[in-house]
Amino acid sequence: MNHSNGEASGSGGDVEGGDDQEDSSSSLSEDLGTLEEFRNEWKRELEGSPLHAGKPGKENLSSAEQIPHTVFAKAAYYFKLGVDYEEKGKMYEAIQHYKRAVQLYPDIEYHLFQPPPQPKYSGETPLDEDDDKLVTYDVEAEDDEEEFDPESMDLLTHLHILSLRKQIRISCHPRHPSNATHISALPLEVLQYILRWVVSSDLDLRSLEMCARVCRGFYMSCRDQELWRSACMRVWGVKCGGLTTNYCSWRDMFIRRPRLHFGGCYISKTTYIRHGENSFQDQFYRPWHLVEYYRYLRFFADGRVLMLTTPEEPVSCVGLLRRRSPPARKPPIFTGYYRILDTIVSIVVSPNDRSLKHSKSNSNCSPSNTFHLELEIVSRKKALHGQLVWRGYSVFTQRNGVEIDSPFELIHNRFPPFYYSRVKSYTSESTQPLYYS
Amino acid sequence: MPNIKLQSSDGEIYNVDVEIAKCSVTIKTMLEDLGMDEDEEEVVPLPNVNSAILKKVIQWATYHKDDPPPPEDDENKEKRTDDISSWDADFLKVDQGTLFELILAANYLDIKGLLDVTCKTVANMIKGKTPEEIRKTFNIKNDFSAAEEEQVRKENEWCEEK
Repeated sequence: MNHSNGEASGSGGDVEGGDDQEDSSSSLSEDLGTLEEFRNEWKRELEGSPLHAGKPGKENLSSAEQIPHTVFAKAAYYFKLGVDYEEKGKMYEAIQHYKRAVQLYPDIEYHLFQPPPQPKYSGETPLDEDDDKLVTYDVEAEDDEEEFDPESMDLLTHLHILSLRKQIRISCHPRHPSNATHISALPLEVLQYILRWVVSSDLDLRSLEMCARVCRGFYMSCRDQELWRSACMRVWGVKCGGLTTNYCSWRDMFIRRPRLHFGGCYISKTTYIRHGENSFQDQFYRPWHLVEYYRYLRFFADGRVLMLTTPEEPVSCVGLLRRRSPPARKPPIFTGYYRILDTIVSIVVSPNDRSLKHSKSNSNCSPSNTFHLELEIVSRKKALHGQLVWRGYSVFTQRNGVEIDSPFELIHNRFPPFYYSRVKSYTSESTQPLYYS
Repeated sequence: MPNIKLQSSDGEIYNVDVEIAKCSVTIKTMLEDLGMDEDEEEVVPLPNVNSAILKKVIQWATYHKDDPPPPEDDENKEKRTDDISSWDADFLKVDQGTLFELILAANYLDIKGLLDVTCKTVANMIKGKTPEEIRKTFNIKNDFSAAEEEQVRKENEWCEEK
């Protein structure tokens, strides 16, 4: 299988493209020799293979006089044969042909999914065995960049192809010329590390998505599978599992699989009317009270949760739930831990962390309460996983070593669902990078 | 304390305490591999770091020489949250170009603490910003075509609301 690969150096495309005449005279005869060799081998192959008496062979045989001239076309030819074999289930043959194609032209697969290469383009592809001698496409090539078509491929593949064609990694570029060291001077792995700081242990993937919209280079770095996989591992841990048919990528899993948001808090506003007693003087009007209060839940990626029940408006409260260790206040902020199982979030909180830790071992006389909540993650129209619906609520009282479970009745208007709202200050500062896992 | 001579890319030589210089894993490994004697007059060339940046790096390393070794990446360990010390915050009040050069130097010299604090500073400049604000902050050209930009917007729709 040592045909053509090495010897056909120079510009085989000249025969076809003809717009690059410099050294064609020197290599033309050589090329023709190689070409002849290739033709013969190819014919031998066609005759030898019973498969090629069949469909794909026939068309090719008739056009045998117009054998592909360029390495690209040869590679494409082998690749397509490989596809034919694969479709017929002949994996061994398919692999042989793929191998040949890739040997001739390493990026053949990408290029085949492009519209047919321009003559100029194929002409400029040197038939060289050394990759590093590959001539990069001239400046014009930049102008006739393929326009991105969402129908035919995804954006990441499109950008990969662009970077392959230009033989450079897609980085970001300065908008205005400047002498100062630009962010594009950072090596790829450092940019990746910065992005891990952006996402942070608090899983601020929203900021990462904003980064992806900055420019092509950022987009490619932000779509790094490892980054999203780490995020998934942090959310679901050992229960994360692998990528199954349900999710096409780790990013897809992170977005669609039910989970909690950490960049804000969940708020449930309870409003109900309580009737009062009639006064002695006025028997006609019956007084009533409008009762209105909020429950706030704030989750952290490390498994902690804060709960606050108060009549105060969100504006004055959400700031209190910014950190894992909330300030002491009245009414107290409950602290505790949560777990997710599929769509159900189980929460255990108590008025303060200490009593929770000691409640199991300590049989002190003063009763200690822990509150157990079960909530279901539900998606609303546009807000994925934006709602938590009550499924269970009970208080465990521990008195003299005996635990009493008293469930609440979940009357609907007293337990409306929680709605997620983003709180910018929660994600304004990174404290730890998202570690590799 | 034995000293070591570090030479910047533009030829300046700095006399640095070996223990301080060793906070750079690159230098530490180099010294160990070469088995340099302590009384040597040898100069360690650092062709990727200019004198202005090398001076800053030495300044940082000197201040942090007694820091405990970097903690393991242990998720369960409770860590201090806002841990950019006020000294570091002042130290990093530099223009963006210098910040990136510090990152490059920290990366080349393999100084984890400095790399962390500088990367974190850049990350906090990014967080919470819109794409256009990020471009403006870092002087980045939007090189998406219209169709590409539309596609990214669509892909990122899930976090648009809220």
